[in-house]
Amino acid sequence: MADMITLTIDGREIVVPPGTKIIEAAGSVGIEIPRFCYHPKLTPVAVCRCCLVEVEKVPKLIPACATPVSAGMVVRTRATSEKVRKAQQGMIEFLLINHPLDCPVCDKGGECPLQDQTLAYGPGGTRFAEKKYHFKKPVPLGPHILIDRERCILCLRCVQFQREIAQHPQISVTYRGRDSFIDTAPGRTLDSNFSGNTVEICPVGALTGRHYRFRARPWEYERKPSICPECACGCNIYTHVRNGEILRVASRENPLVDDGWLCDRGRFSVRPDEPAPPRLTTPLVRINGRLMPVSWDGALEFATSAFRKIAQAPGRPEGVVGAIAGPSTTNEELYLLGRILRTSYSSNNLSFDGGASSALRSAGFAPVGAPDIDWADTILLIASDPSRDLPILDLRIKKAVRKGARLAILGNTSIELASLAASTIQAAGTDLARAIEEIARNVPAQTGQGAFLSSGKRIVVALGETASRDKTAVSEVGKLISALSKDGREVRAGVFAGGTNAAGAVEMGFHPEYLPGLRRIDDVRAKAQVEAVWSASVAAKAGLAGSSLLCSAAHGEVKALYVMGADPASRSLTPEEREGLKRLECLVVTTDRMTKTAEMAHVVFPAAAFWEKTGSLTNVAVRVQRFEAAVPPPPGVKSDVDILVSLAKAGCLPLSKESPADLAEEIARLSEPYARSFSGRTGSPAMSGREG
Amino acid sequence: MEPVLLKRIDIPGMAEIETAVANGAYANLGKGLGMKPADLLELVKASGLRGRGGAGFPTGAKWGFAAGDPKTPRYLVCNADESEPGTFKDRPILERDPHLLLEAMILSGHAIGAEYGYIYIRGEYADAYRILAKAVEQAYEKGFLGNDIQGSGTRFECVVHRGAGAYICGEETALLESIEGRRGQPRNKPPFPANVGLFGKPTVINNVETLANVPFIVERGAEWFKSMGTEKAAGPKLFCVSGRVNKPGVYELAMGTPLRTLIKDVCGGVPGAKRIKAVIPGGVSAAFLGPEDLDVKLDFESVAAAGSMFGSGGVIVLDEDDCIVSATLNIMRFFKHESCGKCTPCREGTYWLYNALHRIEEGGGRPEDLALLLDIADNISGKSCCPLADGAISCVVSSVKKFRAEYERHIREGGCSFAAREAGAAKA
Repeated sequence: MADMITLTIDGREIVVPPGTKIIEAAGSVGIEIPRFCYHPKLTPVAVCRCCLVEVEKVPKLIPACATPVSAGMVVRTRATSEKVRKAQQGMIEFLLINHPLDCPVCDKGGECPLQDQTLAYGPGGTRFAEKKYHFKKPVPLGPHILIDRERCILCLRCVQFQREIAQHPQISVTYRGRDSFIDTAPGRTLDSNFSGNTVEICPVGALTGRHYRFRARPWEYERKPSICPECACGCNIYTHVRNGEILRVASRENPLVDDGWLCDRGRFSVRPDEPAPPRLTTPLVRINGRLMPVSWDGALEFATSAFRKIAQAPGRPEGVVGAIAGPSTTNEELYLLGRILRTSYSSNNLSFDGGASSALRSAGFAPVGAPDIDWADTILLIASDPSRDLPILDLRIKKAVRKGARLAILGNTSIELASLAASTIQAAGTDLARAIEEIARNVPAQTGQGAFLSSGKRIVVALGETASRDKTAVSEVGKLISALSKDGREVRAGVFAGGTNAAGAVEMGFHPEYLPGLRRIDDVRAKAQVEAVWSASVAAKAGLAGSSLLCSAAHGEVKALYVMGADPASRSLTPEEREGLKRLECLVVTTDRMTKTAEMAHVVFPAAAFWEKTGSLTNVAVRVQRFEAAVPPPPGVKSDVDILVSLAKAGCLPLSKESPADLAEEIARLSEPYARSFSGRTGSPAMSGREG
Repeated sequence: MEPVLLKRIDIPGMAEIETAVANGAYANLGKGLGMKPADLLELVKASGLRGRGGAGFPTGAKWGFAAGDPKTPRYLVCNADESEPGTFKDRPILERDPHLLLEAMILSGHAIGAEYGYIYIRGEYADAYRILAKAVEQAYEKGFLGNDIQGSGTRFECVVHRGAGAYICGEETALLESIEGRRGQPRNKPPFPANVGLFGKPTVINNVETLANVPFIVERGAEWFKSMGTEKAAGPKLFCVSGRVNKPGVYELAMGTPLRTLIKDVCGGVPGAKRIKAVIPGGVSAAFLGPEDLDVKLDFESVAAAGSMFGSGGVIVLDEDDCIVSATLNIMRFFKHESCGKCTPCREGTYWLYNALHRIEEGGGRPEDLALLLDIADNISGKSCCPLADGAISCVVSSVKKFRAEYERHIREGGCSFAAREAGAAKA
């Protein structure tokens, strides 16, 4: 390429794009330059001075992290320059003079860049004969993070992360020189929803997470790739597991999903320091009004016969059985439950209890996720608050705005991202649809937000939870999209809403109106495709979901309910909905611990918790991400797939696909995004973004 | 040499604009603002004026980097953060002839096309701040500052920004950070302030004394200016002398005046006719000179050739009764305290050097310490992002090299054998 730059590092000719920093150019050919403050995602601050290199014709050593390459540059690193070698050794010696060297009791010991680079580049001993500087420690910076200021080498990664990436500049350096330390402003706290990332990028043990500190040494645990189940972002993570216990969660960078960052909600969902509620390990059956422990066989038999009695009673119409599934149930579980209900019980009453479904996709809405935000030059958020609902997409939008994308907000203009927006319109409730309609009209009229949006070329429109349930609003968005999709403008519209796997639920056909692969139940040809794969017929009438499902139970129409990983009774229900739950002739609940719904059940199956399952989740951008169990379930507990297979067997149902592989293969035949997830493993197999 | 920069400072009431104008302040505005900016810039270039803040960079060249497309807003910043120990040369101008500085800023702003000027004044200069702030107010009232200066069509606004007591803010990019409301820490360079300076705009930063020359260059021309001083360092220079001399103070002399002349003739020599042990020629960032160096001429090149730095003109004289280890320790205490902490070698290195020097002074020295001091200094040298650390090690490197025997005596005798007075002063 003509605009590439050729330079020489340690006698090797290297060709890199302009703007590449020396440290990156060297790294691209495997020449390692020590570093502490440098982080590929942060603006270089060049403060640790450990990456100093010699550049021909430059009198002083210069920081490789902050210096862009130039044509013909001749760089010498420690491999070929004694001056550089001595300087780097000197810098590490400086960093260590006041560092406590309490590695044997430090959380970072064993995964510590200071330890590793001291071994690789540092002096063997110290010549420091003076007293080390002392600080009060540890000091809490926020609800999750503590700081040991003696270990801190003032690399500023945490400060830079909070300022640049999270855009919550809650920590900075205070005081001066050797007296300086990282702190919050007086009376303030580090309560950013991204504070956990600072612990991960800290190159020493200065920042520790309250829930993990002092709990383990890095060599004691196993790192297992997984997916965060806390929201629909689907961040790629590692679980750190020791003796069957997850001790913490760490990032596993996937540029298409998370950029290597995690929000605190996801990261600190694992809290080994807090007592966990007791697990359910035995099936329970209601006998004489009380839930009593029974054997698996007994419970399976009870549930099967109760369901059959209800569904197969003479004269019973279709749809007397229903199912509710909760967030963090896997695609496989949702698919299987949906298939059983439709084929064995002639019911389409499938209700996903984890936020708005992405049914809008079939109405001209494409999935929208991180890559689309990267692509956009203009972003419109309609009644959506990613900072709260999809935190990693909040970071992605901030990144897009930093890179020049323009943000428009329609809805609640007091959300955090509104401060970055170039155009905001306050609207709520019924005003929302009217406001969207007005913007659509303003596109050709070239006024207001319409003009603002239409001056973009690549426009992302994202609807939040409430907006996506408002049919008028959705149809107005459709008009807005067509108004914008003109004059060379491209629009990608989608839903920034729904809980974990909400997109998976609809894709898997766990939906009253949709069969797997977004096939409408009233589309005869689409339905026939599914029936062919299932070798069974499917009821043609759309089913019930959500409130209508419970209300229908209240009227005695729905008589049996299978609740998988959901707890509808814990929500604020209307009296009618509550009556529905009470009137059920048979309520089967699968859960990992006792819930309000389980307390009302006739049968309760002890089910595996999320970390004990193998399967896949579909994120907000309809990216299917597969994962394996991080820990085994406790004895006596089965996964929901296993429970469903056992139920099917007990009921002698025609369920030919029992093994996970067979099941996956069948789903792949019906769902294109699911099939695609087989071509590459979940997310990227890339290691975490942690820098050396 | 007839006084130039200080010629009006003894006139009572020069801080008042009426008195100032009556005595020639703003007299060169008409002529200067009548010139095309490019011509004014050329004039300053031709005069050979070099920066008086310490580095001696040619002023005209510096202006040239920032002058350019007139549509781009740019800033002129006056560095009045005079905090180098031993340096107090700008203070007479700030306190006793503030309108000279304002006139100079207006003319300099005209030359580079800056409509906004900032004077960043040292926080401890409380009197100077009050005087300067009042002068700016009066200059606005009389139409010397503002939209249309004296009907010339030239606009120049001036803001006095008071520092908060950090030495590092005298470093030009830390100064800019401080004005912008951030932590006063040097920026990484490049980009240089001439391209990306205050608020991201091209910015010229000049020392008070540097700017103060400009009205006189406008008045009397480049040739007149070059008639003073040396070939490479033209013009008058303010020297501030402290330490063991009979008449400490600020003196205006031609560039290139020999150090011996300054100490013996101008400052009346050393009290008690004691022998001079060492001289710091340009603030504590400059290396010690020894008695053998007294014939050095005080200009940028000559002092550098003698192994030190011309620096700010802050001359500190030590006599035979002064302990060099104690003096070095005292200087290092200053730098340890003033290091901003951004770069590892400066933050940790000054802490280490201070503690090691302290140990030697207090009797804990070991023979290997001298090599250690030099090696720590070498590991600091040229490795941080601003010149503070390089200034901090000058005293160590030069004192260990020039006065090695005195260090060895400390180590051998288990502490400082100089008079209790000196030891006491160092610990104070």
